[in-house]
Amino acid sequence: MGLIKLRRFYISLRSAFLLLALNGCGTLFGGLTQDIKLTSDPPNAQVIDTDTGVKYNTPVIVSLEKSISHSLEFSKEGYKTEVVPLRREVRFVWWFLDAFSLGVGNLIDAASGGLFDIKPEQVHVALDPKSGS
Amino acid sequence: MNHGKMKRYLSGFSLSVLVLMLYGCASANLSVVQAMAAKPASASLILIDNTGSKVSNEDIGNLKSAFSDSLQKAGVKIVSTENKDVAAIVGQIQQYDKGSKALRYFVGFGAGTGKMKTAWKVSDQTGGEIGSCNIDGSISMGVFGGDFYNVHEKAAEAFSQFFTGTK
Repeated sequence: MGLIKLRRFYISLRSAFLLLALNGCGTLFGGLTQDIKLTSDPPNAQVIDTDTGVKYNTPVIVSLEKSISHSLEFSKEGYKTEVVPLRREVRFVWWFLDAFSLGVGNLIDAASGGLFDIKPEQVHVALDPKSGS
Repeated sequence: MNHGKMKRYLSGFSLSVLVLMLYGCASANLSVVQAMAAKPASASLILIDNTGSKVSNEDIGNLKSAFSDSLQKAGVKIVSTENKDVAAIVGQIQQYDKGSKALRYFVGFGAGTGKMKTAWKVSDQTGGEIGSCNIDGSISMGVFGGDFYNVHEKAAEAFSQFFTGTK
Protein backbone atom coordinates (compact mmCIF):
# COMPACT_ATOMS: atom_id res chain seq x y z
CA MET A 1 0.00 0.00 0.00
CA GLY A 2 1.41 3.35 -1.02
CA LEU A 3 2.03 6.13 1.43
CA ILE A 4 -0.79 8.27 -0.02
CA LYS A 5 -3.28 5.39 0.16
CA LEU A 6 -2.27 4.72 3.75
CA ARG A 7 -2.75 8.39 4.59
CA ARG A 8 -6.20 8.43 2.98
CA PHE A 9 -7.14 5.26 4.88
CA TYR A 10 -5.97 6.87 8.14
CA ILE A 11 -7.98 10.04 7.45
CA SER A 12 -11.10 7.99 6.59
CA LEU A 13 -10.67 5.92 9.75
CA ARG A 14 -10.27 9.07 11.84
CA SER A 15 -13.37 10.65 10.23
CA ALA A 16 -15.42 7.50 10.83
CA PHE A 17 -14.29 7.42 14.46
CA LEU A 18 -15.20 11.11 14.84
CA LEU A 19 -18.67 10.52 13.37
CA LEU A 20 -19.20 7.58 15.73
CA ALA A 21 -17.98 9.64 18.66
CA LEU A 22 -20.41 12.43 17.79
CA ASN A 23 -23.34 10.01 17.66
CA GLY A 24 -25.47 10.86 20.64
CA CYS A 25 -22.86 13.01 22.33
CA GLY A 26 -25.63 14.79 24.22
CA THR A 27 -26.64 11.45 25.74
CA LEU A 28 -23.05 10.65 26.68
CA PHE A 29 -22.04 14.03 28.06
CA GLY A 30 -25.34 15.74 28.86
CA GLY A 31 -26.84 12.85 30.81
CA LEU A 32 -30.33 11.38 30.79
CA THR A 33 -31.59 13.07 33.95
CA GLN A 34 -31.32 16.52 35.47
CA ASP A 35 -31.53 17.69 39.06
CA ILE A 36 -34.24 20.29 39.71
CA LYS A 37 -34.61 22.09 43.04
CA LEU A 38 -38.20 22.50 44.25
CA THR A 39 -39.05 24.91 47.07
CA SER A 40 -42.22 26.57 48.28
CA ASP A 41 -43.55 29.08 50.76
CA PRO A 42 -44.95 27.75 53.02
CA PRO A 43 -42.68 24.70 52.93
CA ASN A 44 -43.83 21.07 53.07
CA ALA A 45 -46.16 21.42 50.09
CA GLN A 46 -46.95 18.33 48.05
CA VAL A 47 -45.66 18.32 44.51
CA ILE A 48 -47.02 15.90 41.92
CA ASP A 49 -45.30 15.42 38.61
CA THR A 50 -48.49 15.15 36.54
CA ASP A 51 -46.66 13.41 33.70
CA THR A 52 -45.18 10.60 35.80
CA GLY A 53 -47.45 10.64 38.87
CA VAL A 54 -44.46 10.79 41.23
CA LYS A 55 -45.02 12.77 44.45
CA TYR A 56 -42.54 14.86 46.43
CA ASN A 57 -42.57 17.20 49.42
CA THR A 58 -40.83 20.57 49.34
CA PRO A 59 -38.03 21.44 49.78
CA VAL A 60 -36.48 18.74 47.64
CA ILE A 61 -34.02 18.19 44.82
CA VAL A 62 -35.48 15.79 42.27
CA SER A 63 -33.84 13.98 39.41
CA LEU A 64 -36.09 14.26 36.36
CA GLU A 65 -35.84 12.31 33.12
CA LYS A 66 -35.04 14.56 30.19
CA SER A 67 -36.74 12.29 27.63
CA ILE A 68 -40.26 13.30 28.73
CA SER A 69 -41.98 16.58 29.55
CA HIS A 70 -42.83 17.44 33.14
CA SER A 71 -45.50 19.57 34.73
CA LEU A 72 -45.43 20.11 38.49
CA GLU A 73 -48.54 20.65 40.60
CA PHE A 74 -47.89 22.29 43.98
CA SER A 75 -50.62 21.87 46.57
CA LYS A 76 -51.13 22.29 50.31
CA GLU A 77 -54.27 22.23 52.39
CA GLY A 78 -55.75 25.71 52.73
CA TYR A 79 -53.82 27.05 49.72
CA LYS A 80 -54.57 27.39 46.02
CA THR A 81 -52.97 24.77 43.78
CA GLU A 82 -50.29 26.06 41.42
CA VAL A 83 -49.18 24.33 38.24
CA VAL A 84 -45.71 24.99 36.85
CA PRO A 85 -44.90 23.41 33.50
CA LEU A 86 -41.21 22.74 32.94
CA ARG A 87 -39.89 23.04 29.43
CA ARG A 88 -37.29 21.09 27.54
CA GLU A 89 -34.89 23.34 25.69
CA VAL A 90 -32.80 21.98 22.83
CA ARG A 91 -29.11 22.44 23.56
CA PHE A 92 -27.86 23.89 20.31
CA VAL A 93 -24.30 22.60 20.83
CA TRP A 94 -25.45 18.95 20.97
CA TRP A 95 -27.82 19.43 18.05
CA PHE A 96 -25.02 21.03 16.01
CA LEU A 97 -22.46 18.32 16.83
CA ASP A 98 -25.03 15.57 16.23
CA ALA A 99 -25.66 16.98 12.75
CA PHE A 100 -22.18 15.72 11.75
CA SER A 101 -23.47 12.16 12.17
CA LEU A 102 -25.98 12.88 9.38
CA GLY A 103 -28.91 13.04 11.78
CA VAL A 104 -28.36 9.70 13.52
CA GLY A 105 -26.99 11.36 16.63
CA ASN A 106 -29.86 13.87 16.63
CA LEU A 107 -32.36 11.00 16.69
CA ILE A 108 -30.49 9.17 19.45
CA ASP A 109 -30.18 12.30 21.60
CA ALA A 110 -33.81 13.34 20.98
CA ALA A 111 -35.10 9.89 21.98
CA SER A 112 -32.88 9.59 25.06
CA GLY A 113 -33.46 13.20 26.13
CA GLY A 114 -29.75 13.99 26.00
CA LEU A 115 -30.47 16.72 23.46
CA PHE A 116 -32.47 18.72 26.00
CA ASP A 117 -32.05 20.76 29.15
CA ILE A 118 -34.96 21.05 31.55
CA LYS A 119 -35.77 24.66 32.45
CA PRO A 120 -36.04 26.21 34.95
CA GLU A 121 -33.48 24.36 37.06
CA GLN A 122 -35.01 25.73 40.22
CA VAL A 123 -38.73 26.14 40.92
CA HIS A 124 -39.93 28.24 43.83
CA VAL A 125 -43.67 28.59 44.34
CA ALA A 126 -45.29 30.96 46.85
CA LEU A 127 -48.70 29.45 47.51
CA ASP A 128 -51.60 31.83 48.04
CA PRO A 129 -54.17 31.09 50.75
CA LYS A 130 -57.63 30.06 49.52
CA SER A 131 -59.31 32.61 51.73
CA GLY A 132 -57.38 35.39 50.03
CA SER A 133 -59.03 34.75 46.65
CA MET B 1 -14.15 28.56 -6.72
CA ASN B 2 -10.62 28.78 -5.31
CA HIS B 3 -9.65 28.02 -1.72
CA GLY B 4 -9.55 31.67 -0.56
CA LYS B 5 -12.97 32.48 -2.01
CA MET B 6 -14.45 29.30 -0.54
CA LYS B 7 -13.05 30.20 2.90
CA ARG B 8 -14.50 33.72 2.70
CA TYR B 9 -17.85 32.33 1.52
CA LEU B 10 -17.99 29.88 4.44
CA SER B 11 -17.00 32.57 6.97
CA GLY B 12 -19.69 34.88 5.60
CA PHE B 13 -22.26 32.10 5.67
CA SER B 14 -21.41 31.15 9.28
CA LEU B 15 -21.61 34.79 10.34
CA SER B 16 -24.98 35.20 8.61
CA VAL B 17 -26.32 32.09 10.36
CA LEU B 18 -25.06 33.40 13.69
CA VAL B 19 -26.63 36.84 13.12
CA LEU B 20 -29.90 35.21 12.05
CA MET B 21 -29.86 33.01 15.14
CA LEU B 22 -29.25 35.90 17.48
CA TYR B 23 -31.55 38.35 15.72
CA GLY B 24 -35.06 38.30 17.03
CA CYS B 25 -34.46 35.84 19.88
CA ALA B 26 -36.58 36.40 22.98
CA SER B 27 -36.27 39.90 24.39
CA ALA B 28 -37.91 42.09 27.01
CA ASN B 29 -37.98 45.88 27.21
CA LEU B 30 -38.28 47.51 30.59
CA SER B 31 -39.73 51.00 30.89
CA VAL B 32 -39.57 52.41 34.38
CA VAL B 33 -42.60 54.46 35.42
CA GLN B 34 -41.49 55.06 38.99
CA ALA B 35 -38.04 53.91 40.12
CA MET B 36 -37.92 51.78 43.26
CA ALA B 37 -37.84 53.98 46.35
CA ALA B 38 -36.64 51.09 48.53
CA LYS B 39 -35.05 47.67 48.15
CA PRO B 40 -37.27 45.19 49.98
CA ALA B 41 -35.59 41.96 51.09
CA SER B 42 -38.75 39.92 50.67
CA ALA B 43 -42.00 40.25 48.76
CA SER B 44 -45.18 38.48 47.76
CA LEU B 45 -46.12 38.11 44.12
CA ILE B 46 -49.57 38.37 42.54
CA LEU B 47 -50.24 37.99 38.84
CA ILE B 48 -53.51 39.19 37.30
CA ASP B 49 -54.70 38.21 33.84
CA ASN B 50 -56.23 41.29 32.23
CA THR B 51 -56.44 39.79 28.76
CA GLY B 52 -59.87 38.23 29.22
CA SER B 53 -58.65 34.75 30.22
CA LYS B 54 -56.30 34.39 27.25
CA VAL B 55 -53.54 33.14 29.52
CA SER B 56 -53.72 29.53 30.67
CA ASN B 57 -53.07 28.52 34.29
CA GLU B 58 -49.90 26.74 33.12
CA ASP B 59 -48.61 29.91 31.44
CA ILE B 60 -49.41 31.99 34.54
CA GLY B 61 -47.67 29.34 36.67
CA ASN B 62 -44.59 29.44 34.46
CA LEU B 63 -44.48 33.25 34.43
CA LYS B 64 -44.82 33.44 38.22
CA SER B 65 -42.15 30.78 38.62
CA ALA B 66 -39.79 32.68 36.28
CA PHE B 67 -40.25 35.89 38.31
CA SER B 68 -39.85 34.07 41.64
CA ASP B 69 -36.72 32.30 40.40
CA SER B 70 -35.13 35.48 39.04
CA LEU B 71 -35.91 37.51 42.18
CA GLN B 72 -34.68 34.73 44.48
CA LYS B 73 -31.43 34.58 42.50
CA ALA B 74 -31.12 38.36 43.06
CA GLY B 75 -31.46 37.80 46.81
CA VAL B 76 -35.15 38.67 47.21
CA LYS B 77 -37.19 36.15 49.18
CA ILE B 78 -40.57 35.42 47.56
CA VAL B 79 -43.22 34.52 50.10
CA SER B 80 -46.91 33.68 50.18
CA THR B 81 -49.46 36.52 49.95
CA GLU B 82 -50.60 35.62 53.48
CA ASN B 83 -47.54 37.52 54.73
CA LYS B 84 -48.70 41.11 55.10
CA ASP B 85 -45.45 42.46 56.54
CA VAL B 86 -43.58 42.29 53.25
CA ALA B 87 -43.64 44.27 50.00
CA ALA B 88 -46.26 43.25 47.46
CA ILE B 89 -45.55 42.87 43.76
CA VAL B 90 -48.65 43.00 41.59
CA GLY B 91 -48.29 42.24 37.90
CA GLN B 92 -50.98 42.68 35.28
CA ILE B 93 -50.81 40.84 31.97
CA GLN B 94 -52.28 43.25 29.44
CA GLN B 95 -51.48 41.44 26.22
CA TYR B 96 -50.46 37.82 25.72
CA ASP B 97 -49.96 36.20 22.35
CA LYS B 98 -47.60 33.23 22.18
CA GLY B 99 -47.45 33.46 18.38
CA SER B 100 -46.63 30.38 16.32
CA LYS B 101 -43.47 28.38 16.85
CA ALA B 102 -43.94 26.65 13.48
CA LEU B 103 -44.25 29.95 11.59
CA ARG B 104 -41.21 31.35 13.39
CA TYR B 105 -39.22 28.27 12.40
CA PHE B 106 -40.37 27.64 8.84
CA VAL B 107 -41.18 31.16 7.65
CA GLY B 108 -39.30 33.57 9.90
CA PHE B 109 -38.98 37.27 8.99
CA GLY B 110 -41.41 38.23 11.76
CA ALA B 111 -44.08 35.62 10.98
CA GLY B 112 -45.40 33.91 14.11
CA THR B 113 -43.97 36.55 16.44
CA GLY B 114 -45.12 36.16 20.05
CA LYS B 115 -45.77 39.25 22.22
CA MET B 116 -46.49 39.99 25.84
CA LYS B 117 -47.28 43.28 27.60
CA THR B 118 -47.22 43.55 31.36
CA ALA B 119 -47.48 46.30 33.98
CA TRP B 120 -45.97 45.97 37.46
CA LYS B 121 -46.53 47.82 40.72
CA VAL B 122 -44.66 47.36 43.97
CA SER B 123 -46.11 48.53 47.26
CA ASP B 124 -44.66 48.44 50.76
CA GLN B 125 -46.18 46.96 53.94
CA THR B 126 -48.41 50.02 54.37
CA GLY B 127 -49.80 49.69 50.83
CA GLY B 128 -47.97 52.76 49.52
CA GLU B 129 -46.57 52.44 46.02
CA ILE B 130 -42.78 52.33 45.98
CA GLY B 131 -42.19 51.53 42.31
CA SER B 132 -43.83 50.69 38.99
CA CYS B 133 -42.77 49.68 35.54
CA ASN B 134 -43.95 48.20 32.25
CA ILE B 135 -42.30 45.23 30.60
CA ASP B 136 -42.96 44.28 26.99
CA GLY B 137 -41.53 41.02 25.68
CA SER B 138 -41.42 39.38 22.30
CA ILE B 139 -39.93 36.49 20.38
CA SER B 140 -39.63 36.39 16.61
CA MET B 141 -36.97 33.73 16.10
CA GLY B 142 -34.86 31.15 17.88
CA VAL B 143 -33.58 27.59 17.69
CA PHE B 144 -36.46 25.58 16.13
CA GLY B 145 -38.68 28.67 16.33
CA GLY B 146 -37.83 29.43 19.95
CA ASP B 147 -39.93 28.88 23.05
CA PHE B 148 -42.26 31.65 24.26
CA TYR B 149 -41.29 30.79 27.84
CA ASN B 150 -37.93 32.41 26.99
CA VAL B 151 -39.85 35.71 26.95
CA HIS B 152 -41.04 34.96 30.51
CA GLU B 153 -37.41 34.51 31.59
CA LYS B 154 -36.25 37.70 29.87
CA ALA B 155 -39.14 39.67 31.41
CA ALA B 156 -38.31 38.20 34.82
CA GLU B 157 -34.65 39.21 34.47
CA ALA B 158 -35.68 42.75 33.49
CA PHE B 159 -38.02 43.02 36.48
CA SER B 160 -35.39 41.65 38.81
CA GLN B 161 -32.99 44.39 37.66
CA PHE B 162 -35.71 46.99 38.20
CA PHE B 163 -36.62 45.63 41.65
CA THR B 164 -33.04 45.49 42.89
CA GLY B 165 -32.24 48.88 41.42
CA THR B 166 -29.56 47.62 39.03
CA LYS B 167 -31.46 49.14 36.09
